[in-house]
Amino acid sequence: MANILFLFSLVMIWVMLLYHMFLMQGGFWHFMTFRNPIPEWSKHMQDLPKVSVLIPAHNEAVVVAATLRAMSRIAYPHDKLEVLLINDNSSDRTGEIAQQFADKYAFIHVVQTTPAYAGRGKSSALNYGLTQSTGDVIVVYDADNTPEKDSVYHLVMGLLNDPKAGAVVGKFRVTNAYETLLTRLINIETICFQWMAQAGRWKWFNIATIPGTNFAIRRSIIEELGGWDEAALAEDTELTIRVYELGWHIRFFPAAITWEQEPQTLNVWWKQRTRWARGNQYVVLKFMSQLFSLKRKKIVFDIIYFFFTYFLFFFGVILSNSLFVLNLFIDIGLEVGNITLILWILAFLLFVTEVFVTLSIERSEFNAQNFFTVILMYFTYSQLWILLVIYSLYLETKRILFNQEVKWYKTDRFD
Amino acid sequence: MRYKIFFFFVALLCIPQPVQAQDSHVSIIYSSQSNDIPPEVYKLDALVSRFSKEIDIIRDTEVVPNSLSKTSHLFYYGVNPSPIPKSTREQINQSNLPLYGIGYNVDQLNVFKKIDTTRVQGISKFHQTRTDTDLTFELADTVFLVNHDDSIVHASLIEKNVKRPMIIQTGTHFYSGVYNLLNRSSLLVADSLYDFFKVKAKEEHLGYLRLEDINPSTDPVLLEKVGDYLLDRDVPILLAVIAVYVDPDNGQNVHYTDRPKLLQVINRLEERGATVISHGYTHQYRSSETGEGFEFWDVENNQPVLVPSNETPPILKQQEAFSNDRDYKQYMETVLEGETAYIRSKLTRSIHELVSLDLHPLGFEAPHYTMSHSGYALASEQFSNIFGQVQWSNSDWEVMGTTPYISKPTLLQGMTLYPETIGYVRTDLPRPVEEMRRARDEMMIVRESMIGGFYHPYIGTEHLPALVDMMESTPGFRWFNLREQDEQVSTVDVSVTTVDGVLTLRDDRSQVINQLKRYLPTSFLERSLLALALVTLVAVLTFLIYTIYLRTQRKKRLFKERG
Repeated sequence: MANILFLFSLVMIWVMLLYHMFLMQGGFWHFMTFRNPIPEWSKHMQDLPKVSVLIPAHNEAVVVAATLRAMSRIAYPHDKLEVLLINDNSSDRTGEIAQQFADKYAFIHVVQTTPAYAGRGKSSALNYGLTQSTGDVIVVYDADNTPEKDSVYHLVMGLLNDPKAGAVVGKFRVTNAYETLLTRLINIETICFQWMAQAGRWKWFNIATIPGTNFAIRRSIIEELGGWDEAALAEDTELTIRVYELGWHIRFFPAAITWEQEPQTLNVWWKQRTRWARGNQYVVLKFMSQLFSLKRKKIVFDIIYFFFTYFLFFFGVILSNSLFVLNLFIDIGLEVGNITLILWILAFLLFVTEVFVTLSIERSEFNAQNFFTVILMYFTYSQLWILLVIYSLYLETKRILFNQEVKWYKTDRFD
Repeated sequence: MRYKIFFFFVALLCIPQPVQAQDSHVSIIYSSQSNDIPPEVYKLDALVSRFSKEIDIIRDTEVVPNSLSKTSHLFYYGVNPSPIPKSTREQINQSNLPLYGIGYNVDQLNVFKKIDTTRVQGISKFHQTRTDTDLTFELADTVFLVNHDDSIVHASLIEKNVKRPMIIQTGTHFYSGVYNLLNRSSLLVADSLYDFFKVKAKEEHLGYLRLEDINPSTDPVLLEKVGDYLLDRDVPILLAVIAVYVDPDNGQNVHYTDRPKLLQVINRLEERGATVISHGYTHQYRSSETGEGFEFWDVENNQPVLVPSNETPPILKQQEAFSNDRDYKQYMETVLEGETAYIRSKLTRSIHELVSLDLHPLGFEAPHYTMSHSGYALASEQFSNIFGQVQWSNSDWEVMGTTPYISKPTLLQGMTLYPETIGYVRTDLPRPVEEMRRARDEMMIVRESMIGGFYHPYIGTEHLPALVDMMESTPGFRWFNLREQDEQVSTVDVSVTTVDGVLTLRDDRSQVINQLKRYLPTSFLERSLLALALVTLVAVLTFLIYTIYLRTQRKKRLFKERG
């Protein structure tokens, strides 16, 4: 019995590890090649479409000035650009600060959510923004983002040159990476996510996930989809699947870069990540039930991947740890010996080297400090994820059992 | 023209052939309640195999008109009391062949009509006429005494100090009142076969001494002392070597490569003239300890080993559970597939492991002498001989025994049986060599009997001088040397043979792979994990190279990004 359970956990864990190994290879490959078509693509950037940048903001007084300052510098023809700051039910100075920018720059506008949309979360705010916008291309930024000046240009470049792309997502970097140990860890994590999951999946399967910020989507598509799903906590994952279902793909184009702020305290991080985990669990469960009726098989594959991440892999890790602990106290008759120790060491080395590759891609990030942070990360930050999934599963279960309404928690910002 | 050739062949067939003992063709007809051939009949077959290469074993209900057409010597064995079918009776009566009757029912046959048998219990004393020896066996037996006036008496039972005929001869026909051939008194039957087949025996007793259960946990110092002592006395010892020691505490396998000193000793003893025989791969099954456990018989369930060590075996269903023969056979074939895979793999691995250690296994000894009948068939594919005893029953490992002389039982499918007949030095007994002497003395009533025994090297040399003296004091004694026989041990890739006393090895395995295989895990799971580890290692190295590459390109990229 113990052997079967052990084997199960082993398979669950290693399917994921092997898959990520594979993704890493694709990610590296994408890094080596994604710039190649830019010279050719630039030639086609003649008849540019009108772009609406949507920035949902709920009590963002701390960061909104920096955000709009960055928006004011966006290198895109101003007659074809509108930046809409969607002030959603803010009780602080968000609207006031934003208005100062709107007064100064003609292409920046502040819109106030109407009662039907107000205070119901990011999806709702975006849907309102959509009604107020006029662009053929919709670009979304979070309120704490400071995009590089040509990021919008690159997002549009992706859309214009890839007629099958329904959306183009760029890369995000962390502004406060060296503020605290936590932000340093998050910084490493985001770099890994983008070069492994995003770039890797794009290179192998033409799949990327909309990350909630720094992406462009064709207006026709978002309108056909009827906007964002207001019930979803992870509106971005949800939107991704629906875009693929319409027959489009989402291009990962890391030439478009934005910088964003990450949680500096564990408490804020915990709330943000709980929302993500719950959101993704919601999406997985929503689509798992209709898995085989989905038209696009590769998105089916991606949903299974999510299912693995949040359920099977997680369960495998818990099982493996339990067997390990149990084995310390009583003989449960495990028949595999030293080879599992070797596998564990290799798993650790795999983690470390994968992170090293992604950090080396971001030129300045592979430094001595991060070298040790990565080693520490495996034993600390990475393990927090287990607690996070347990907690979010608990919350989701509670929500379904007691029929609670989802509450959208907005990430706290830092000065 | 064609017709002429046909007639010529028919004419050839009709020319009567002179019958010699070695060319004899034996039919054993038996009466039994059991559907399978009973163990006693297998034992009789084994005893007879010394005298004939052709033996047919036929149940009394299955005798057909031509069954006896080639027979030169006929046995009738009444294992249980029952009427012999009329047609069988008639065929025996009309055959006119030398007939050896054993046990029950013989009064139904014309030849033995006149003899009168009485079953007597509690007999432990016997007398052999040829050697004029009185014998007392440890366990009492139930036998038939025979009242017949004009017959030669070969052996008698002794009841209240009175000799009563038990094995008799009238003309060319014999009758044995010893009817349980699994008992010790069967020695008397064994000896009488020389007279029945009219074979002149050599005035010689071959003997061997086997050093038992040598495995990677064996003490090299004691083994060396014991081996050297015997070789110094020109005893061509046999080394019963187990390839792998399984530690019962942690399940770890210990190989000889982990015990270089011991391996050196065994290699040297072999060089000095000792002959290695395979004593199984691990001499254990499931979690039992090497040397203690049974390897080729599932002793817990008293059935063949059907599944690998780590699985729970199904309990073998009896034939009664099936409505017909065909279903039962089909069932057995399916379940025995597991046994076949298991035994083949273990035997092959034992040979390969020993050969890889530069040893030359030349024979086989089943751990605890236990093996199913299908197991013997598999062993015979790889070994030309087997040492020790034979498990006569296919359903109960405890029904085992041996022949007093070298034989080739049908059950062993062509393997020569080198019997162990005098036991071993038991340190729990006050005078162990005396016990063996007693057994040896009993063997002396059988012509050409083998004096085979074994010795555990962990005892040290203490009992060896007495033991060797005792064995060598046997009249007509000569040490048996396996290397002087034509023997062969083989797998698909490897074979060890003897040609004129010289060991010859053929090894078609690649030496490199051979070395690697020694360190390769054996189970599918562990092999898969190893493959996984290798794939991961390759990935780790690749990613390391990427990292180094990207780092060397750092400055170049910096300029590129700025430019």
